[in-house]
Amino acid sequence: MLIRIARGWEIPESKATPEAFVLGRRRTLGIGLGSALATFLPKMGHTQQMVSRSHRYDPGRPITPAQIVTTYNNFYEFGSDKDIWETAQGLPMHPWVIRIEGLVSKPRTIAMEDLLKQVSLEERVYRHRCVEAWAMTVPWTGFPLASLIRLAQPLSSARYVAFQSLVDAKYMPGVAEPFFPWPYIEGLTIEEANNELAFIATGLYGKPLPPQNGGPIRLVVPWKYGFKSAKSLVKITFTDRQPHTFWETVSPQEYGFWANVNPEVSHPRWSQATERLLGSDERVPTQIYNGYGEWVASLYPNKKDKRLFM
Amino acid sequence: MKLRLSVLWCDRSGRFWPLKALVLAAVLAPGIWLAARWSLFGLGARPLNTAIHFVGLWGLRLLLISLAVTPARGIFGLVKLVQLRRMLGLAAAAYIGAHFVLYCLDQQFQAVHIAQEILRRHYLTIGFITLTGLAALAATSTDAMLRRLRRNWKRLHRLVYPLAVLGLVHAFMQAKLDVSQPAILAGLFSWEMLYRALPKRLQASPWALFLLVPLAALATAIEEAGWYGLAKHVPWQRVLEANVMVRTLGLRPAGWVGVATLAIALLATLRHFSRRFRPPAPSASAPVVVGG
Repeated sequence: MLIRIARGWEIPESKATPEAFVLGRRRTLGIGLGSALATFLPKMGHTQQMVSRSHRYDPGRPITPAQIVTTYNNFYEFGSDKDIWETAQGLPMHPWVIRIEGLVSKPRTIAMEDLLKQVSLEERVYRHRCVEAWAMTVPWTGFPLASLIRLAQPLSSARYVAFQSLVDAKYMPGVAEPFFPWPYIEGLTIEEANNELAFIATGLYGKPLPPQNGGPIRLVVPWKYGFKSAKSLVKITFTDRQPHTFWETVSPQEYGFWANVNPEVSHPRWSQATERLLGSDERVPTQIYNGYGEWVASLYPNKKDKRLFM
Repeated sequence: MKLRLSVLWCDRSGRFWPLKALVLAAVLAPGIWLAARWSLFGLGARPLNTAIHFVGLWGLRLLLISLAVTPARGIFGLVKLVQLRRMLGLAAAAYIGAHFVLYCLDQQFQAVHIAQEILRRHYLTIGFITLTGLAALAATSTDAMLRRLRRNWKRLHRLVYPLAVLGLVHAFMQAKLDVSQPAILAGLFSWEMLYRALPKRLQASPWALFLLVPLAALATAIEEAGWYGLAKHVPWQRVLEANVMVRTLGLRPAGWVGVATLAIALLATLRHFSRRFRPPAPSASAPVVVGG
């Protein structure tokens, strides 16, 4: 017998909001948001076309003001403080190419524009939980990582996907620290990468992704701590070995490979039970898998293993 | 016992002392600056976190400045400087107290949770021991306590050295990865301890101070590289190498400590020679206190 447990987003047609309301709402929201943003985001070349928001990932809390999301950033390549956004503005984001290699049928280099032509963009509002016990709610524009994997055509022997961020000392003063293991590497298992939540973002608040947030293209893995979501991607490698990630290399006891959000498994230096929401500054309880358990819990049958959450 | 506010800017004889007034203004300045910025412009996305770090860092800086009184007295022959030490020490304790109160505020004053966190997280345990120790020193800093404790007072207050070490360890441990700030402070503390290790007759000698420059820089480099090598999985050899890549990397913590301690040695030299060529003071003037 097939037992099917309905997921949160699986609601009957009858409950759906009529299309006209949704479109009208988007238009008003778009105009309001756009004009509010114009003051915060510097001009970033071409504007991304308006794309529709996927409502199945409703975050259940208000979107964090863009001003905070675009000025409070962990991006060590630009510096170890949070206020690197000004430094990051110098990074040229055109042209941008991504190398796809490793266990794929044909390694190749693909230009950003060509990649964007082969995927369909959508907007998703995800909860973002930093390992440092703060959180934001962010509207990303982009496409599922699974569609990129389809384009890459990995071999069946590929078990992991490694993501590599840009290293360019000319624009990134942080990478001058010669003793850190640059480039920044992150990784997922192929099953995690194919999960429908795993996302490649190229936009933020309906605009092209600014450099401080990982522009022009980054990973977003909302059920894991933020450091898993590698920024400013230049290389994606399919491999049969677990990648050696940046944080796991320098501080394995604090920032592991799995890093799934779990309020019950503490960071060695602080409790992960609660998080501070940037913007409202409220302290709220943290949810297991950052509240995305219905999509991802099945990826981790052995929930008892603490390493999955560190 | 009567408390007079004027002790904050007067010397022991009750006369207005501009230097002490200046030091008072200086120790209040970081707190006023923070309060003004917080109320006028806010402190960014995580205001409490920013305030906790700012106040804690200043507490540690002031603690190290209070430990610089002894070297300053010896080098510049100004015995009177010792009268500034209590104010500096109390200011350090006050900032570190505020650091703890802000942490409690961030944890919404949940006493049980805070106590558990202090017991569970080593860096918080260490920080809390430092706080408790400094509170004890602050409480016994009055003239009355000084008289009551007699010889024991000095023994008790020597605790400031291990407490400063614990404070520095806490600063290293709380850093996510980059320990440049704590490393600079640890380097300056090392210089203060190396100075105290000098034979008394050399403590005013510019040449001895020049000798301390490479030693303090070396101590800083070892502390920084040691931390990365032992506490983080960062190759310590490469951290050490980075110190000499000044042209590409700029000054690393050891470099900054070298520059700061070199400046002290140069000042001492300047003073040494200016005194040597100064005509002897007329004997009618007030008795001259000769330091060093």
